[in-house]
Amino acid sequence: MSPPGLASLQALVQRSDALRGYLLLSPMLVFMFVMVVVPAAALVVLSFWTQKGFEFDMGLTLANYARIFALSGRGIGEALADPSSLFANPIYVSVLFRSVVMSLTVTVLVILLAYPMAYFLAFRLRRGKLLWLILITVPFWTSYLLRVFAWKVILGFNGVINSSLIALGLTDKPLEFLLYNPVAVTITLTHAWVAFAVLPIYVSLEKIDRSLLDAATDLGDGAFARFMRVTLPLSLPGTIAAALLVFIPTVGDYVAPTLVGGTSGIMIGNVIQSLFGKTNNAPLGAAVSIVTMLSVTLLVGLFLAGVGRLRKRAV
Amino acid sequence: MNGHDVRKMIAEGRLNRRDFGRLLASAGLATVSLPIAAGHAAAARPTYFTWAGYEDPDLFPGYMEKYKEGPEISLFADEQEALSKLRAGFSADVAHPCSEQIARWREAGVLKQIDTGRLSHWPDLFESLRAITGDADGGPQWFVPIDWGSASIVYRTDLVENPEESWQLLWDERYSGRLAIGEQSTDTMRIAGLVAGVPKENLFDMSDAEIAQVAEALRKQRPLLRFYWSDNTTMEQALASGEIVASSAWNSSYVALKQQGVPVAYMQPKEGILTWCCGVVVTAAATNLDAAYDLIDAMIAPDAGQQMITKLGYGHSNRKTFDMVGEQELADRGLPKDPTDFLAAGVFSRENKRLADLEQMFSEVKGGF
Repeated sequence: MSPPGLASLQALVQRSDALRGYLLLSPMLVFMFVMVVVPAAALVVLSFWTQKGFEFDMGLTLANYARIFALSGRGIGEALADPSSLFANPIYVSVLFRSVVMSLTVTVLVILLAYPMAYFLAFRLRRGKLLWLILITVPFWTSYLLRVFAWKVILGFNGVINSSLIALGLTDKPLEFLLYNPVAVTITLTHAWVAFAVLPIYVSLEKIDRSLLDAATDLGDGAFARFMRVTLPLSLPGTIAAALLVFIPTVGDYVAPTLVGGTSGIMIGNVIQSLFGKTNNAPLGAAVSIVTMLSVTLLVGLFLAGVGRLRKRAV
Repeated sequence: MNGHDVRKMIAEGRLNRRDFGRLLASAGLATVSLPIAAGHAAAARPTYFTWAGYEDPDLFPGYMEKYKEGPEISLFADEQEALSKLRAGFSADVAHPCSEQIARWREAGVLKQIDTGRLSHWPDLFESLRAITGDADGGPQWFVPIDWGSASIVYRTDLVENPEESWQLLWDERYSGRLAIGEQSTDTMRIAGLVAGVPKENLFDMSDAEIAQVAEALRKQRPLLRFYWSDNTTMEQALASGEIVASSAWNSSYVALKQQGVPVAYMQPKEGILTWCCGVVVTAAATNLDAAYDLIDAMIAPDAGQQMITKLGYGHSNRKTFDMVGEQELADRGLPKDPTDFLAAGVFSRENKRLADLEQMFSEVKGGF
């Protein structure tokens, strides 16, 4: 009934597995192309422009990158010969460095907190696992902004912690170091992301074949050796996924630093937001964003390569 | 054919195919057109893009009386950000920047000229405020003045004893960790400029050397600050709890804290108090001009002005407002009956020629450099 062109297309689709696969993927591919690839490409192009008042000078230039790495007046080769000089005009690079350090701290803390929770869920619970999983996600029923704001209430000058300490007579003056510093940002981000890490770790722990643990015990391993030699290596994929899931988004976070960071807790996300907004220098903002993304990609790549090598050696 | 008929027809098996088709078609048409009609109704509400605190319907009672339903409200915390948002295509009909921004906004192409003939209260506004055109003197009008006031230091009288009347209090190491200053640069750059010793006449067109001086002052101040405030609520709460003892603030914060019974004072710094005038503009993208002008006219009416003075503690642009407010009420808020001399006596906010460089410098200082 259908016209010959359509019929042959139908036949082609039926014959080719690959084509069928792409057809299935096509809604997602189109979405990704429009919402991710195109904006990312636009960001790259923008980063080579310059801001002139309210307009863009569309001549392509490396000026924004030169500014980030303090290259102005020097060649790239000359700068690379003395890598420490890349940090001479420190604002962008060192705020980025500070953000990465804070994110790494958050990631380590999140894994340390989430792993025991996931372990408990996977190994200690016989019944009601679903209930526990739901309970763990309860904090996520409120928005991210509110969770960050809640920490402001908890850590605040006359907040929960300070009021309790004063009521207990442990201190007579509120502790001021709780809020408005990098520590407050780290605490807030850790709490905000813990539940994200529990789930992937739980899934990989849950998948571990219990007979392997029995075998390890039978062969004389104690509880600790068994954990180090069987459970931990086998749960590594989930743990790595959790680490990436936390590290990548927290580097660019700007909500938590804005609300609880005070004057010293600023992160690279705040700088980028200010460049696109107040400072009105979108091209420089784009360049800083791209340097941030590339740095995160590089770190993640190094991390994965390191983990890969470790696992190979273990095998 | 009403619902009851249809049910009966179905029950009796009388609904033929053509009737059924007609029913489905009308239901379909209704479903499709409903969102369009609803969208149309929503579009009739103008959008008012303003600072937090100004969304109060008491500040445009005439409009509420006529339309029953208030305008759509969108808030900004910083005019630079508001401008970026408008330039990025955010569609607002009426926006609420301050006088020094108007030329910048006009050059950015986001404004429409104001037709003052459409504003019934326009002739009652103070002449000195009507003179702020947003263009060359005597040029076309781009701005309708609404509120005016000052900015100074609010401090706790019980925690700061007899301070010198000076902006230096925000640099006083004795109160390290218990001071705050605004994050928006319009005020903070003037304050830091005055403290750094930049001559008043250069404050809005600093030389590179003077910008470096200001940067130095801000760098010295940063470790002494508890935070840079971006919304006055955070700052007012911190003052009320004693977390901070002094902060830069507008007079509304002083009025609000005083009304809560917090022991605060509003300083008259010897270097000069800051003064400002804000008002509304019609954006170039405004689609809802009739409602927009009704909204503006309601804002400059004396009944709106009375609320402005009582609730927010700011002055109002309409001369007739001041016949409706008692002398004592004005004195409590530190407001004169006529803004002309008051605004000129302080460091009145004008367009800052070096704003972009100052913003860049300030963001670097905030980042710790």
